[in-house]
Amino acid sequence: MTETAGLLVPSEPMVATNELILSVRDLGKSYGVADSRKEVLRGLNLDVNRSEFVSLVGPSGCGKTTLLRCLAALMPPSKGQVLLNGRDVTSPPPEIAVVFQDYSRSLLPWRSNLDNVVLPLRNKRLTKQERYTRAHEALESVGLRGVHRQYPWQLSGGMQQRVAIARALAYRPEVILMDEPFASVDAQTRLDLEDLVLGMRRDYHMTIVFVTHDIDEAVYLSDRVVVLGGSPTTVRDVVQIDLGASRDQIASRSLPQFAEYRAAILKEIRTTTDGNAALGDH
Amino acid sequence: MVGTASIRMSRRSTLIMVARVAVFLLLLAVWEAVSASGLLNAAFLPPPTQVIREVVRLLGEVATWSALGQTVKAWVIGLGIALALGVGIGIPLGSSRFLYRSARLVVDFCRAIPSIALLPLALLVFGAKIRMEVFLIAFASVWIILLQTIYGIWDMDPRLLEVMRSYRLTRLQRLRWLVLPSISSYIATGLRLASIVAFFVGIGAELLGGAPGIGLKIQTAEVGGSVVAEYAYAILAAGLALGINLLMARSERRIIFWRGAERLEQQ
Amino acid sequence: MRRHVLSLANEVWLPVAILGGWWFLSTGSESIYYPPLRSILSTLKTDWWFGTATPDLAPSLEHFAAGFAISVIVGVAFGLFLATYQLAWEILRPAVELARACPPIVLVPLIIGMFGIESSGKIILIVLGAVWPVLLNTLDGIRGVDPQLLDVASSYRLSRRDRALQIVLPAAMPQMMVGVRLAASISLIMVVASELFGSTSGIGFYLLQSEQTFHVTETWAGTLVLGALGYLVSIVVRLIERRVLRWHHLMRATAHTQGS
Repeated sequence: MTETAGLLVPSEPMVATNELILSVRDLGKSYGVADSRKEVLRGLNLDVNRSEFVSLVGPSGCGKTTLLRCLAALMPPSKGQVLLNGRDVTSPPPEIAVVFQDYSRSLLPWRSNLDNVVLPLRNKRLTKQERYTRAHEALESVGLRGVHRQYPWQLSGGMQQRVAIARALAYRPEVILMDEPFASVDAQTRLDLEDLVLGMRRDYHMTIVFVTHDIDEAVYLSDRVVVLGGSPTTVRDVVQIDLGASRDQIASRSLPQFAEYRAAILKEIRTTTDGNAALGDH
Repeated sequence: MVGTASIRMSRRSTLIMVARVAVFLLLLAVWEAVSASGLLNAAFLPPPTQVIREVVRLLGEVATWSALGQTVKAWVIGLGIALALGVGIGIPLGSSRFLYRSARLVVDFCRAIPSIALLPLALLVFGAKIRMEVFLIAFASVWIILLQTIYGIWDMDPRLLEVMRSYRLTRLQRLRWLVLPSISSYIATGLRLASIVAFFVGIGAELLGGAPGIGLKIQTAEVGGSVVAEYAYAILAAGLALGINLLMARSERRIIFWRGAERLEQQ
Repeated sequence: MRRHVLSLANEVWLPVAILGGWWFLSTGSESIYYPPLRSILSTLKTDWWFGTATPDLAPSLEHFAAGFAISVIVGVAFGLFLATYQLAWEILRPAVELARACPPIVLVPLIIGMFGIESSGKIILIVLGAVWPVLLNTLDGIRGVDPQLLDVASSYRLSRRDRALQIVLPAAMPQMMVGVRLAASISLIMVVASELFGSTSGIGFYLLQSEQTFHVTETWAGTLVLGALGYLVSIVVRLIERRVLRWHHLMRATAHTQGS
C-alpha cells in the first residue's frame, strides 16, 4: 500500500472471488400490528461473494437500512433467512462488523478514540497489549495519526467516521456492512473516504456491503450494484460493474462505461414507484 | 388476523391494570398484617381500615377543609411572591452578564440553604402565623423560579431582540410581546418545580412550626396522642400534594406550546 | 492578570457589600430579633468553631451521609431493575408516582413515632425522601440511552457486563447525576426536619433548643451554620459531578463554540 497525502492509492488489482459468503433467501420484513401493519421488504434474494464489493442503492426510505440491519442480525426478519458461510444468522455474528451512518452517535463520547477502537476487541482472545497494538494499527491504516488520546467529538466529521471504520477494521471481520457512512460528510472528504474503503478492501481482502443513495459512489466503489425499489421493497436489478480492479477518482469516473452504468441504475430507480429527486444526482 | 394482534395488546393492558390494583391491595394487606402483628410499636401503626374510616370522617368536618384551605392559601401567596420576585429579578439578571456574575454567589448560597433551616428563625421573628409560612415558602421557591427565568433569557434568540429593537419598540413593549412569551415555558417549569418545594416547606412550617394548616392538624394529633388522626391527616396532606402535582403538570403542558422543557439538566 | 482581578471583584463585591451592610446596620441594635452581626459571629465562634456545639455536627453529618448513600444505592439499583424489566415498571408505576408525590416531611412524626428518635428512624426518613429522584432519574437516564449505542453494543457482541458498564452507565450518568444532586439536598433537609421534630443531638436540635429558649443570637448562629453546611454539600456534589461528567461538560462546551 502506498500513501499519498493520506490517501490510500491502490497498487495492485483486487478481484472478487466466486465463493459465496453472505446469502439472503426470500427475506421479508414487516412492522406494526393489525391495521397499521406495514410490509417494508418482500421476497429479497441476494448473494454476496467473498471479497466482493456490493452496493445497495434505492430511493430514500425504501428500507435499505432495514435490510442492512437484518443482515447484521440487529433485527430479525419476519420471513426468510440470512446465511453467513452457510449458517443461519440469528444473532450478531463475530464475522460481521457494522459502520453506521451517524458517527457522532456510534462512537462513545466518554472514551478516547483509541479506547473506542479497542472496545469491541475486549471479547476477543487477545492480551491487552495485542488489543492496543491492533487498535493503533487500525487508526494508522485509516490515515489517522496522533488522535488516539483525543475524544471523538474533538475531531471533524470525516475523521470521526475514520475512527468508526478503524474500529470495524480492528475487529478483523470477514464482512463489513456500511450504512450510508459518508452521507453526513462533505463532498471532498467523501472522495478520500471512498478511496480509503477501497484500499481497506484490497489490503484486508474484506467483503463489503455498502448502502448508499449516491449512485456515483455506488458505481465507483462496487463490483456489483443491487438496485432496490418498489413497495414493498424488493431487488429490482443487479448491475455488474466492470470498471477494472483498480479504481481512480478521476480516471474511472471519466470512463464512458461509468456514465452508462449510472444511467442504467438511475433509470431503474426512477421507474419504481417513488422515484424521488433526492437521489445522488448532484 | 387483523384482530388478533390488537386483542393481544388489550389483553396485556388489562393484565397490567389488574396487576397494578393487586400491588395496591398487597401493600394494604402488608400494612394490615404488620399493624396486627405488633412488630413495630403497634400503638403507632394503626390498621388501614381504621385510618381510612378516620379519613372519611375528617372529610366531613368543616375544620378539616378550613385547614386544607389555609395550607393552600399560604402556598398560593408564597408562590405568587416567589413568582413576582423570581421573574422580576431574573429578567435583569439574565440580561446582564455583570449583574449575573455579581449575584451568582449570593443566589448559589441562598438556594443551597436547606429550606427547613430557616424555620426556627422565622418562628422567632414572625411567630406561628401564616406570615411565617408564606415567608418560608417564598424564600425556598424564589431561587428556583429565578434560575429558570435566567435560563429562559439566555435561551432567547438574540436575533429576535434585534428585530424588535429595530422596530423601535419600547422596553415595556419588548418585555410584553417578546421576552415574557419566550421565557414562559421556562417560567412554567420553574413554577412546577417550585410548587413541589413550596408545598413541602409549607407543610413543614405547619408541622414543625405550628402555622395554621393541615400540617398543624398532624402536629396537634400527634401531641394529643391520637395516632389514627395523625395518619388520617397525613394521608389528607399527601392527597393534597398529589392534587397540586397533577394541577401543575396539567397547566404546564398548556403553557408550553412551542418549547419542550422536560427534565432539564439545569435544575 | 488584570482581567482576573476584575472578574473576581465582579463576583465578590455584592456578598461583601451585603455582609458589610448587615454589619453596619445592625451594630448597636437593640432589637431582640435582629441582634448585631458582631454578636452572631462571636456566638458562632464560641459555639461552633471547635466550641461547645461542634460535637453536634457529627450525628447530623453521619445521618446525612448514611441516608444519602443508602438512597443512592437503592435508587440506582431499583432504577436499573425497572429500566430492564419494562413490565415491572408498567405495573409499579402508579405506586411509585404516588409514593413520590407524598411530601416526606409528613412522614416525620409517623416514622419517629414508630422508630423513636434513634438513628434508624432518621435514616429511614432520609431514604424515604431522597430515593425517588435517584430512582426516577436513573430510570430516565437508562431508558434515554441512544439506541444507536445499543446497536453498536449488539453488533460488536459486547458482553453484558461491558454493555452495562461501558455503554449504558456512562450514557445515563448525566441524568443520574441530576437525581443525585436532588437527593443530596433532600437528604440534608430531612436530617434537619427530623432533628427539629425530635432529637437529643444534632444541629437541628441545637436550633430547636435555641429557638425554644429564646436565645435569638444562637438561633441566628445555628441558621448560618446550616446555611454554610448546605452550601458546602452543594459544592462537593458539584465537584463530584464535574469530575464524573468531565467528558460531558467538555463536549457541550465544544459544541457551543462550534456554533451548533
